[in-house]
Amino acid sequence: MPRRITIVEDDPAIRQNYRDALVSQGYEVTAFEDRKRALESFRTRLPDLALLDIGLGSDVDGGFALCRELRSLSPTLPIIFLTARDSDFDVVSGLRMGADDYVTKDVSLPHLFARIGALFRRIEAAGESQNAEEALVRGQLTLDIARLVATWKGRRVDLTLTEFWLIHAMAKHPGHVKDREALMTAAKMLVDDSTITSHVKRVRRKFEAVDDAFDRIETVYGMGYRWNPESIGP
Amino acid sequence: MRLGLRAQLLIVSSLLLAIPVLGLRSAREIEAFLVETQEQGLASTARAVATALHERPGVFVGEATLTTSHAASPALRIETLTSPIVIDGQSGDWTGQRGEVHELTAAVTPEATGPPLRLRYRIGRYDRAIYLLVEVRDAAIVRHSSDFPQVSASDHVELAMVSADDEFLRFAIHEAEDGSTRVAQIGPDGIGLPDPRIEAAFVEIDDGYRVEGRVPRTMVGSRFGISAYDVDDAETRLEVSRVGTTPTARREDLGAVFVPSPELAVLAQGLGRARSRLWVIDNSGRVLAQAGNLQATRAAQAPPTWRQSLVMTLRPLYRSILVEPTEDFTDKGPDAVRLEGPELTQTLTGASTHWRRRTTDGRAAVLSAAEPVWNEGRVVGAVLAEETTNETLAARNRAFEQLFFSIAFVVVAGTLTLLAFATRLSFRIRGLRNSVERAIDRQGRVRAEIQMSTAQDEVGDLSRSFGSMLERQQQYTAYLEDLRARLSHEIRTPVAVVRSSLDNLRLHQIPEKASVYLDRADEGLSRLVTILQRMTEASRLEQTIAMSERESFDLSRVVSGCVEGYRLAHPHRQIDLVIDAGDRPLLIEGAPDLIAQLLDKLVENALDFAREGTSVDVRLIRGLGVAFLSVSNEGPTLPENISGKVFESVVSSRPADTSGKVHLGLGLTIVRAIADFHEGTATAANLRDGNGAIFTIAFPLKSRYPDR
Repeated sequence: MPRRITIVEDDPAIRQNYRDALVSQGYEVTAFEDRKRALESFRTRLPDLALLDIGLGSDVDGGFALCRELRSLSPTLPIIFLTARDSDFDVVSGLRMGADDYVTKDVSLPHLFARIGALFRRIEAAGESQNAEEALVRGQLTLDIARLVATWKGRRVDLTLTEFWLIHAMAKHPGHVKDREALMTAAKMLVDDSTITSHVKRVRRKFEAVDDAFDRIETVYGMGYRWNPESIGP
Repeated sequence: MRLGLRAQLLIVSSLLLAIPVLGLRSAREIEAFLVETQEQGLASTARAVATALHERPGVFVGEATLTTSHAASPALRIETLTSPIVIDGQSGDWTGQRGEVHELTAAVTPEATGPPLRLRYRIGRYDRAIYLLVEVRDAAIVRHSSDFPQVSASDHVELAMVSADDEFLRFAIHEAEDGSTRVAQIGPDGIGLPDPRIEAAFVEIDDGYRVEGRVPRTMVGSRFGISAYDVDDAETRLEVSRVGTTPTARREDLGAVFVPSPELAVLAQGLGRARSRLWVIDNSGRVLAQAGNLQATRAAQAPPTWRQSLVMTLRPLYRSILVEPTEDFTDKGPDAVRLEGPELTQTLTGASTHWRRRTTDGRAAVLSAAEPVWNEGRVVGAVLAEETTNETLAARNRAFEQLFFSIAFVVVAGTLTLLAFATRLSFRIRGLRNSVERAIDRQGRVRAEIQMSTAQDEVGDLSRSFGSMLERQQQYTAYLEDLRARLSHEIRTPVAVVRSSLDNLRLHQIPEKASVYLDRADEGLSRLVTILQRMTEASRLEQTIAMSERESFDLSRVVSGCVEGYRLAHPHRQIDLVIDAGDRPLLIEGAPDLIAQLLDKLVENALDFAREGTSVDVRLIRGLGVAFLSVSNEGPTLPENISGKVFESVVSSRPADTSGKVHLGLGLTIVRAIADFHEGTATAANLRDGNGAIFTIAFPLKSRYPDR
């Protein structure tokens, strides 16, 4: 059964192009041009993935509102923001809304397919994890792969799927520098450099919220990030 | 030369100093006017006295003969007696009379025996006669003897005088052989002939003799002298001693005589003014009467009021400008017997005159006014009134002090007010300038609003027009930035349409030949996308910087990490790294991600411009409290004229390369923005050998870790 993707995009040409392209990739696609109609459809039936434009015609932040409403319907539904905007502010806002990824409209279609594929693979991985190892334990860090839950010092750290796989990729080989590409692959997603940086920052914040002294995620400038097996602090 | 508003205003207000000068001028004018008034007053006094003396020959002519002047010897002053004297040799009727007893003692001579000869006399005038009382100490009285006709052969008192008719007369008063009194006029041969004009009484007393005499006033002219001659030996009859007011033998030796005229004196006293002196002279300049005094008696002063004391604080200043009149001067005394001068001579020809002179010691100025006295169409004398200008000067000084104090107060208060005003004005203008300068940053963007003044004056207007100007500028800048963002946003949508259409096209089977055009369309599209990204890069970075959090980190770790990354990214280029930081971390405060971005830009720039086959040098050196990060490359140099501006927005630094890469001149603006965020300074220069360019950023080191 093909996966269902919903596109909410106000520009008819883009909407039609993306729809055609995704259909050609074997997905089942529904497309809406405004928030109201999209929401009605979501209430009836949730898609497997939502591709949301932020500005919906005169509804400037319609995509953000839609994302919030969608999240309230399903906490795990993969959401990708698709927008002409590219400011960091929007990236951060989008990710805070609970979106899983963020692409600008000038992304090439193969790139978009790759990202969509990555998100679906991650859901599959979550389903398959029953067969894989139950948990990854690195000192105080425990990653429950079955339930996609991370705990630090026994306290739960609330991570999105992308963030979970990022930390998983780093913690799997402590001390090894993971460059951005490696992290993208591991997190089963395709994002640009600055999005990785935003993700890593958010992950750090989330850990710091649990433990003020958290400093295990180390930036290796110009190269990438790594999980420090031991505290590097003073 | 830069002159502040305050300095300018002070210079302008120095014009106020002209006011005291004007005050001084007006004080001098007042003085001239006052002196003139005083002169007129003096002249009218003189005229009044003269008018009172007109046609009074009795007062005038009779007196005129009584006085004269003689410069060489002191004048004999003849006081007016209050009661008549009886010539009886008794001194009783002299007691209580005006005038004093004069005493003269002879020098000791070898011929004289016993105590030295002593002469006591009093002289006075009553009605039309001069009275004398003479007492001579003499142990042995030698009487006149007819055997010795020479007057000098007996003890005698000699009276010598120049009469009103200018006749030289000498009289001897001695005791005749019979003990009676003998008065004789002494002839040229020294022999005395009895003369009835002088009435006298010679009386022997305990230690000598007493002579009382009466001389008609007409006989006493300009000169008068009294002498006593002592003869001790009745046999030899030699003169052994003499004592007297002057030698009496010769006319020239005689002293002057001065008879104050009671009528004139009373008149003068009545008409005279305080602090003025009146003289009445006859037509030959002889003083007939004198009244008053030039010197004022110092009146007790009331204690000064606070206002006066305030005024007096500036007194030393006034003194340096105006002379304080002094009462401490000397002038020719009241005993002068004759007055002379060209002005008086003129007066005596019948003209009223007035003049000014200095006192004899020059310490005060004296105003004089003279008026002739007429009698039967003839000038018989003159009245001279004198007064010092002291009172006028004091009045002038008081007026000037008041004026000067008021002026000084006004000038000081005015200057201070002006200064305060100028200070406030320049403060406001400086405030406005600073807020205008703060409002626009180096990129020419409006950063802050001007606090618009509500003052209803020109500075307020200026502030408001600056404010509204900046507001309009800000609106325009915002419009431009908004335009840039919107343009990139709006173009992105059609780009997305084109891109997705092209991508969709690829999903279909297309002829081999046609795919070439598809590739070209792709290539053009990606260049368009790059342009879009560059357009918004700077403003995106500003947002990033605004959201960045500061932490302290080791700059050398960031730099070495980044350079590792560049080497991986550009395996065919040589990137040299030199870190000279000692073995301690180079701790700075800021955001490491931004530093990495800064280095990205610098290295990217250097790689773009580096000559083929040359290396890019990255250096990080510890300085004193700063870390110097520099990136240099060989290649084209920066034009001299813009080397200071390469960090400015939209200044394209070096000749564009031919690689087709897009340079919007924003990269180095990002460098500066990041350097500013770290409180560092960015500089660009050409290499010393002129063979490339070097960009240096100086970052202040974190001071919490001082160099040890």
